[in-house]
Amino acid sequence: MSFDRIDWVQIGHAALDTLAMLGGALFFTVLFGLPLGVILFLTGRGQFLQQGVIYGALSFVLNILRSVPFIILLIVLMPVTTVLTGTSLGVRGVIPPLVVGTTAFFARLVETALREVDRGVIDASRAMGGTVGQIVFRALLPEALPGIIAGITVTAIVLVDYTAMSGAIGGGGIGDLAIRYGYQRFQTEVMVVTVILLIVLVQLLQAAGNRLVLHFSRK
Amino acid sequence: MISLKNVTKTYAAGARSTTALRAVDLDIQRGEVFGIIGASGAGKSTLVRLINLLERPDAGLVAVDGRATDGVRGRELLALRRRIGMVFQHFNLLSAKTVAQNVAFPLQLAGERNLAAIEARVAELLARVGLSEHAQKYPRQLSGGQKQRVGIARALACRPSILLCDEATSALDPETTRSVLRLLSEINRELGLTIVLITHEMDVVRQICDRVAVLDAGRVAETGPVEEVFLHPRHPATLALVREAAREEDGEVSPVHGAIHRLTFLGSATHSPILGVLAREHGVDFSIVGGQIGSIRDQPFAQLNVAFSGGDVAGALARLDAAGIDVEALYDRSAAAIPAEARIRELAHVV
Repeated sequence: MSFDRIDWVQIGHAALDTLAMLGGALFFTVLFGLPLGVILFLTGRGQFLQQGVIYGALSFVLNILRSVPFIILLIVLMPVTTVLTGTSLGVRGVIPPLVVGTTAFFARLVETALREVDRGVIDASRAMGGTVGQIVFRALLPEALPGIIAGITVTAIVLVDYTAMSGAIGGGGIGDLAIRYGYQRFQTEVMVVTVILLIVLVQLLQAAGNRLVLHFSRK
Repeated sequence: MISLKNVTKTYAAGARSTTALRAVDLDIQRGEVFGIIGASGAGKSTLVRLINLLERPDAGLVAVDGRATDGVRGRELLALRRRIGMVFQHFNLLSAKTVAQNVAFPLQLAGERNLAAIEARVAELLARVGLSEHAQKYPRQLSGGQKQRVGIARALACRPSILLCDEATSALDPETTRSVLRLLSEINRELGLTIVLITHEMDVVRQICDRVAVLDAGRVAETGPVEEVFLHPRHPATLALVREAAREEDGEVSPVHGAIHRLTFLGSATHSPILGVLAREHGVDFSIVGGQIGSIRDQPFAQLNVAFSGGDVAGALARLDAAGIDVEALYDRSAAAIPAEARIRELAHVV
């Protein structure tokens, strides 16, 4: 193993690509997953907007999405991705399947975080004459914020995992490098560097998430 | 102010259903402190939640401020709820907001945008409940009593005409309970607020309520002025609650012979040295075999079970009656010991 053969500029680009995929996918995952999680929670059993049909249908779809292995989702979604972004390769081509793959997961985490909120808070907000919107935005989400941040952290780490996997079908980033150089060209040192980068990234994400959770916890 | 007519509420839980309230009739007057007491599962919480329409009755009519609420929906419903404050057993404060933000919360929900007005109102409310120096703390930094004071300040923020208290003191220790009840009493007097207070403790009712309804298995067992219900319980459920409050042991038997009478002193009569007078002037001997002494709101009372013997017992009883002391014959001990259960029934019957 010789580390002089490593192209550090290439690794730098790959790292930035990974961060771009992570950032973009996380943004859209939260954008879609948060409202879905809120709807799941509000229409769930025993909640004040209980709607069995909506909850059942949404739950069913989300479960299907979660039960498709990500590597298969990547392939199945290729035509859709091409329509949306014009390509199924690189950073842009990977964000749609990443978002589809983690939105359902994140929506469930949001639902769970909202369930952790003291029911009495909803009761009190209703008794004060709060509208559904006011209760969600001014009471439920602020109260569940630490739980939601913890959910975003977990989702971000899953996304790091998925971005690496997407390298297998032509996505960019560190995973792509690991597969093309580390695996296909037997450059073990590239593999080692990419794995270390991934470990560092995950550790940083978790540490940042923990700090934010602590900062917003008032219980 | 609030009236319930023939209200029934049933909860369906799968195949089984539980009837929480059966044909309940209640009338709560403007400005009074009305207690609703009952064992757990008697339907108290359901009843209070019908008033601010967190629940709807299956049958019957709920009217607030002289208006039937069955057709109230949408904005009108929200406006109605804003006129009714609610205080909860577990406080239900927002943990992510400071004390001041919690009190400001209902004002914001009501659409108040003037920050200076909100700030002034919050300061006024926190001063009222004695928490001014804790404005910037979070709920978890407060004691239970302080949290409930925040809950009360929050409930008063929108200047409601009705305050609902759902077991507001049940999570508090006796000392804190007394101070919270004192605060509610002051609020009732100063603001002329109607307070509906739900509890399972007779002591709470005794301390601040004007009138009380006893709820038993979803029905109103009895209702009346607190003095009346507390000192002369008619229904077994009431009796059980009163006995619990008096920490009376079941089936206590005192080895006394002769007729036992229950003397009830209320108000100024409590201070008259009437028993000594009876002994001197009517030649009766007496032993006090049981009883309780305390106060109902600010009024002292004493209720003594007294066995009279010798002398002119009839004359003594007439004297008591003339002095405005309520006398009830309980039973004659010489008729052999009566089991506790029979005694309760008899007591309920005699009274």
